[in-house]
Amino acid sequence: MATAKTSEAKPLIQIDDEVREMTDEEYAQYLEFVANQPAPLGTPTE
Amino acid sequence: MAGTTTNYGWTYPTSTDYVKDGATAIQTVATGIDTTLGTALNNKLHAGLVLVKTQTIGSAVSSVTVSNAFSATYDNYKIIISGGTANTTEDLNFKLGASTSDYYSSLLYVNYGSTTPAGSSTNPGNIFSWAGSATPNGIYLHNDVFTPFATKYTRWSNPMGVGNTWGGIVSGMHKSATSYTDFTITTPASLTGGTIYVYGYAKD
Repeated sequence: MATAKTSEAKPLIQIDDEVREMTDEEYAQYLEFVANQPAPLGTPTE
Repeated sequence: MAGTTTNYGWTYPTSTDYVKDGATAIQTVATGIDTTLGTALNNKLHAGLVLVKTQTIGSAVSSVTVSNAFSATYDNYKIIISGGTANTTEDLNFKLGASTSDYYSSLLYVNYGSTTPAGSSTNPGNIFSWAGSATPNGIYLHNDVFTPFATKYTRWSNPMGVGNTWGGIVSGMHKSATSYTDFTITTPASLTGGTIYVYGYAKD
């Protein structure tokens, strides 16, 4: 699960062919998506 | 003497045929092509699914936006993702445009080895959940999206809900009468490679 990153690089976002690091705003929204994602239904083994 | 094509038997003139018969020969070719296409396409202009756009997933990305995917050309769409790999196993989520609210998702599933169905839902969530799977073995998504471009609620489904321990189906609705042209796939995992295919369901 993603955790807040301050000095570390943020996750990468891709918009069409452009790939770059997330802005602060995009990262905040991304963290909210991750936090609100439903709990896993089973243990990942793949 | 006229020849015929290998696959569909279209008649064509050869170099020894008379020039004066050229117009008739062209008519024969055109009629043959028209008949074949009419049979294959049921006299429509397009087959059932028309490839609208493809997008290659980059390296180590956690969010991919495909712009100009939806338009007035089609009412309904199928989105497929295959290939690639992820650094870990996580769900994929599906977002319309910039909307972060009013997503209702319902999952009906059965754990492998069980005969007892189970369910889960978001009521609402900030994204469509259980849209697909990101795994080291590949990235998988199969979504149908209904009327995303129209100023109506968008209906959405994932007929291929697959987890490591369960299989199921997901359906949902975005309760906002808003027109969208873009969508975003987002995940806690890091994705590398794979291709996103956007198909429109033909209307003519």
